[in-house]
Amino acid sequence: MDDQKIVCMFLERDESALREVSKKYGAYCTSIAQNILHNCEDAEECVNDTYLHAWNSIPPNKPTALGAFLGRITKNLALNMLESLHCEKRGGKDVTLPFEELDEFISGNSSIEGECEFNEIVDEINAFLQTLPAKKRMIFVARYWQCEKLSEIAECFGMAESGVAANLSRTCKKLKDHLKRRGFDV
Amino acid sequence: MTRKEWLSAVDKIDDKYINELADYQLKKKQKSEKKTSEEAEVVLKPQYFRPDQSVKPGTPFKRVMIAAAAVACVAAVGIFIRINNKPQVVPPNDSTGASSGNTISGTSGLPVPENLILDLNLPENTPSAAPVIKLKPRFWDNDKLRKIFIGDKEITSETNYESNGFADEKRYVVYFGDNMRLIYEPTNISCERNDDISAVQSSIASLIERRWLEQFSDEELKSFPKADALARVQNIIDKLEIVNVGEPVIRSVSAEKGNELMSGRTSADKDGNEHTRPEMTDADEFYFITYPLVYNDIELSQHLKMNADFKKSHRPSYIKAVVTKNGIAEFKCENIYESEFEAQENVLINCGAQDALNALIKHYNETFQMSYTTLSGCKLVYITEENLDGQSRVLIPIWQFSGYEITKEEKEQGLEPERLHYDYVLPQTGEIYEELF
Repeated sequence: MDDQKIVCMFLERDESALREVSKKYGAYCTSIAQNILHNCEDAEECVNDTYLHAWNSIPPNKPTALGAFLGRITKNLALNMLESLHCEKRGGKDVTLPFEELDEFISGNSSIEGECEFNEIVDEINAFLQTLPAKKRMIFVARYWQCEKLSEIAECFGMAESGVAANLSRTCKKLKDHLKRRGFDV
Repeated sequence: MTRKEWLSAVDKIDDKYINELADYQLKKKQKSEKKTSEEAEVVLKPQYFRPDQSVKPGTPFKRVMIAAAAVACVAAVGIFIRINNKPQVVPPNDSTGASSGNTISGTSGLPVPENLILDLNLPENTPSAAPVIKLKPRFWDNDKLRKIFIGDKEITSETNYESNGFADEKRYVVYFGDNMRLIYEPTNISCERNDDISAVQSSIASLIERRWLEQFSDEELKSFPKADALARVQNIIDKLEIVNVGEPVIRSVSAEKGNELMSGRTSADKDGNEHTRPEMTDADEFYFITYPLVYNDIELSQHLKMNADFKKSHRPSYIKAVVTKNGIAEFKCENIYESEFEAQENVLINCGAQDALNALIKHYNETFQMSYTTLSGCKLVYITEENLDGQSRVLIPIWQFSGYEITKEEKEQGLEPERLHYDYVLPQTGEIYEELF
């Protein structure tokens, strides 16, 4: 079933919308939650909550990119859950997802001053992504937005794990150069 | 740049890139499933949820919703209490009985978690007992309903589906007149104008309910009197023969106030492009009116309460309307039941409002708090104890604490909370309702 029809079912308060969303995006949402939480039960809970959030927010929202809409909800819920679990275990410290390879490209020093600058960086990342070939862009998004393991990305795109790592490394380096050229301290 | 800053920035990338990957993965999955099916291979993969569980509104809130909603409260007596993130001591519980639930004396020293704000009055009069009630669903007369809402206007299109909750019943979707849409099935009716400005009015009404009820008053609008709006809605309610409605809550939304509220909020078209919503003009100002359903002088809860056991989930009962000077732009009623009910055993209200509040504080002092929560309301309501076959339901009286919540991250970013928060305490024992399951 296409997304517009599913959204229409939400708007008409048709509970079959939840069945359709589960059928179409269940695995996708579960994958996002699982990538972050690494726990089947927590991921299941997170995805169930995603459906609930979607049900409660459509209407008034009318998402045009339903996959992204659900993905964002799942990711936020999963990160919140991870933070809460982390807080329980570690006494309230921040959670940072483990992307060690990023340390090669970023200084590690906080450099963003204010929301304005943050938004400018987001705009620049969007502009940079637009210049990439679709495959490279999807690999980047899979790794850093969807938090997938290199092995999963490799399987998804029919590549070797080392190939994915090299691909990401080149993309990150280019992005770093792109941001630097525009005056950001990366 | 730190790793966290990097990931936060990447987190905000355009939806189109996220969707691009989602589409790719979806197609790949479908292709893979097709291939698997063709090859008749059985591949067992870990299942993280079962679709038949996950799709029902009755799926569990579980930890995120419960913990995010986790709250502690403080006792207050007839006076307004506000605590702003400072360690507080709960006023004592005098335990003098149900009807004096809001009287405090002495000091019991219950600490209040720092991420709690209390902004509520406790009810002064509480019954000493209330019956468990059994309600039967309200079925509508098809012709009568259409006569009320459609009249002699032209029907432009019509479809029907299986009813959401009633076997052998239909849910009708009828487009008629000037961009109007009527949806109905047993117990539920929704009739609304289907245009951009109505969507804005509907969004504002939703926001008022979720967070801004206190920031809107019931003052008269310039363009038409409140009494007219109330009379129009009451006329529909009378025609529908819904007699057990409580006192309406009315909020007036002027064009200026509406535009202020919607400022910066955008909507997206079918291509995903964001647009500023149309601004309200004086002709679009409206009253937003909500009616509770009442049995035994106790409201049915207007809050959707999920439960791991679907039979115990509570669906909100209410009547809502957006009324402009040109008429009713939106009329919704959900989960309407017959006015006659069967009273079952009596529940003793051993625990007054303050006892319930103290029980809640104790509970949340002992549990992990994830969000900042503000509690702004407390009342005795009916919620579903069991949804029976044939869609009758049994409801129990319970203390409902309502408010809203915000995560630490949102608070740090200076965002306004928009998520409603509810807690329930059993009046006969003081137990926290969620903990029973």
